[in-house]
Amino acid sequence: MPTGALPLLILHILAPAPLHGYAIAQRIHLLSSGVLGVEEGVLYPALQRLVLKGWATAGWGTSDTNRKVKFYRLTPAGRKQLAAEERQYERLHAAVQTILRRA
Amino acid sequence: MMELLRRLAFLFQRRRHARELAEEMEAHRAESEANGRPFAGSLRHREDAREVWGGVWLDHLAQDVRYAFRTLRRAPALTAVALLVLGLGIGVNVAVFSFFNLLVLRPLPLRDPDSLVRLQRFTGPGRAPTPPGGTGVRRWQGYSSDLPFFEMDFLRRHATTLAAVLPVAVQSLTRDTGEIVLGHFVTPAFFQELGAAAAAGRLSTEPAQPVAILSYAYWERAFASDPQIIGRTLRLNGLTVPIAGVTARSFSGLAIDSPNVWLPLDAQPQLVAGSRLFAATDGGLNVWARLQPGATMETARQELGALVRQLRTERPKAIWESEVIALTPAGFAVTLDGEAGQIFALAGTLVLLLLAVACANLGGLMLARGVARQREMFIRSGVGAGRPRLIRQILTESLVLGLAGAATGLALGYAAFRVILAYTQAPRWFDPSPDWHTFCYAALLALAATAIFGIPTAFQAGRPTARAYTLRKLMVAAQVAACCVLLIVTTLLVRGIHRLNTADPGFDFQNVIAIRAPSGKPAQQLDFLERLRQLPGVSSAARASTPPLGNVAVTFLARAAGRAPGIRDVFVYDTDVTPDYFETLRLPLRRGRNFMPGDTHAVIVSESLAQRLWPGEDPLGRQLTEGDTEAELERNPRLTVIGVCGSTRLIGRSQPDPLELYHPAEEASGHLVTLARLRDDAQSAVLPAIRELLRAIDPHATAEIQPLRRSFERQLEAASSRAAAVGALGLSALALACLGIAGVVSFTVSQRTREFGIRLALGARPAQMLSLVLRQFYSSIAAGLAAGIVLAALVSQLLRAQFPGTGSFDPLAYTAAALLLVAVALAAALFPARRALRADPLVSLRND
Repeated sequence: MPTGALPLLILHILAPAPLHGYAIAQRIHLLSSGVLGVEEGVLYPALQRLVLKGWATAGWGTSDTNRKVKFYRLTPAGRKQLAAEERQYERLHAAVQTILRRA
Repeated sequence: MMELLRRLAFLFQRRRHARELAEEMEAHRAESEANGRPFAGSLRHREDAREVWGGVWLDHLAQDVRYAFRTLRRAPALTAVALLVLGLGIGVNVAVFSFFNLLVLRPLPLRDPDSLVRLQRFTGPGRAPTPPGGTGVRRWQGYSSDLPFFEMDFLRRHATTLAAVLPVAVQSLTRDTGEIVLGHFVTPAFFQELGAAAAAGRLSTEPAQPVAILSYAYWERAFASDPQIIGRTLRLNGLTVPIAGVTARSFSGLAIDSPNVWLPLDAQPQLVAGSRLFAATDGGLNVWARLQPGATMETARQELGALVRQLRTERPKAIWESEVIALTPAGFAVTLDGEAGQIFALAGTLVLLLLAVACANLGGLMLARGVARQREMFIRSGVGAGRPRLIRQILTESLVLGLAGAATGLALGYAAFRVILAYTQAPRWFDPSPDWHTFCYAALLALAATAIFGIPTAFQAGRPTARAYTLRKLMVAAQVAACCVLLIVTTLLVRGIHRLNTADPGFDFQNVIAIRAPSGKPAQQLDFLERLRQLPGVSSAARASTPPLGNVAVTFLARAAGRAPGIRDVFVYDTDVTPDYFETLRLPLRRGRNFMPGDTHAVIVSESLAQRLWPGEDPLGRQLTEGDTEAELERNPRLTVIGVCGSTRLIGRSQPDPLELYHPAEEASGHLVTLARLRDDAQSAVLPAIRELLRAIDPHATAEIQPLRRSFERQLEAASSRAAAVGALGLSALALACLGIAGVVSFTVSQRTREFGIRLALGARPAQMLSLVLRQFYSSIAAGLAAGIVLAALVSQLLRAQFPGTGSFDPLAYTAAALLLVAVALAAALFPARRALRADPLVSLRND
């Protein structure tokens, strides 16, 4: 996984609906068709950082398997951050593409 | 900003947060495993997640503190010794600081103390070089610094920078019981202006007839706190005065020496026969004032200066040339100039030395323990603790110890302070409870102490032992140095007292009494003196402006006539005496003649003064001038030396070798003190007869009769109690240092038991073994001694200014203190060193 991409992916996945930690890891794994795997040692610090920055809030809920888990929900600041990071990623991606095509 | 708040909120809920994170990751693990994927989650991951929030240091700190408490508890004996040593060191500092705080830092418990000032008159700028090591000028200023009524009244009426002027006339009064009470005569505004509260009755001096207001302490002492006191009367100087009120316990008045009773200023002439308070032009009133809001000391000083110059045009005789009114803050019990500052500096230095000994001692103790804990440190670093973490751990331990020591010290110091206050009959308004100043000071000392004993120990952690030896030797040297200073100072004081006790004072004070007679008419004074001389028990009588051995001394500058300014100008103690003075005090006249009636501008000088002004020359017939300023030295009339008398060594004076100058005085002058020499056998019979004579002058007035021997003993007592206090400090320091040295030596021996055992087996002799152990401490003891002696020389400068008799460099005191210290240090070292001789090579080899 490219550096700095994880927060963007988490924000993106949380945008439609709140999810818990395991579900986030699963979703990223599935949506990338098994290419991207999120390690727990990276996921949880990243989630804590989102809460600390005020982009997400965490609250207890019940998972599909009936376990008590913590759901992360985007805040308005988080949505703004998501948009900003998407733009930033687009630009970066375009720049990398340009270089790859020319050279 | 919000992020910071979230971080803070997290800090407060760290525990819950950690628990939740664990639960959350546990759920994750369960889901993973349910889906057949192993979860790599661990404690490590949880900590990584937590570290996002920061504040981990707080957890580490909490861990360290808990660990420190555990370690300290595990070695209770060592902890107790450390607390005691540190508590003692901090305790004496807290006790001294409590005095400093009470007298200097805390304002008097009066209304708006910051705007209170004291007014004193001075002869003007450009004067008063301080005499070498002495405070003669200050004494002189104190002597003549009060204001005459007319001047106070003028300032009160015209000064716009002063909101109130509070004159106080001090007077001793006699009750019908014969008891002498100290009275302060004050204006009606006095109590209200100072915001005084009453314990009983009213604090008002307004009625036209005299009323008395008792101080709380006097009410307690003389009337057993009688609640029915109001309306009772007090007979003072033969006048019946109703008691109107009692001040509250918390009322301090304006100065430390509080009066027994306050009375209306207007009633002063009714109570004091022959009072010249309102007519005098030279003084009589101590004056305080309150600054107008917005006025500063500087604006007030300028205005008062202008007013005094204006007044001088009206009363040129009564106001001095270039007189100024000096303002000093009066909202504090003591201001830090001159003597008070020196005394605090001296006391502070001495108690800090004791703390230094305690710290160095503790440092040695901790270093020893550090070496013993090396295994623990190796294990901890083996399981992943970095060196910074180990250092932090030891520092935390030291800090916990330091703070606990400060708490012990606060308790000990507070107790000592209470005991001292109780024994010295401190004023009742003194509130000994420690305030935040004291707590801050104790905390500061704890931090400093921790730095001294903790930092070397901490950085020693996990290092080879060799460096610890060097550090411990340094600690021993520091202890020896501080100890050395305290011992030398003690010896200097003790020797000073011994010298006072045994040295020839130059005159004979044994059977002389000083009589402060009530002021009467000149004829009455002469009559009294005549009758006194006729008493069978009195062998001679004289009068003088200040009695010898008293607390008041008058000094002036003197210059041999015709000399250039500044060269050999000397400070002289100046006394007006009648011709019988020399006979009465048995002060020998060495050359020339005594005063005779009609002598003008004639003086008698002491041998010491003659020697200073005209070394190697005949002083008789020489001339000198005397004054307080350069202008006065030039302008004042020349005085001719007609006689030379013996030098006195008067104690209570700052200079070791005072120079004295005597002027002739009229026997009938009102302000003189009478001195009488009594015959040995008639002491008890003659005193009642003298009191009878005094009653003839004024039946009600106060007379004080004081044997000079009593004055001498009082000064000796004061010096003795100081020496006892410093001596106690010195001995405590010595005991601590002994413990420290014995500890270091004992530790060395136990570390090298194996080596000693082998040496013994190979045939080393006992003396060789002992010297092997002790040799390594010679250098630290020698270095400590050298540093201590240099430091003591510096401290004794302070001492010299404060305590007479400790005068010049005293090699004997230094040598004695150093020898004692070396002997005790060696004895302390020898005791544990003997264990080296018992080392058994087999045992020590088997141990490894």
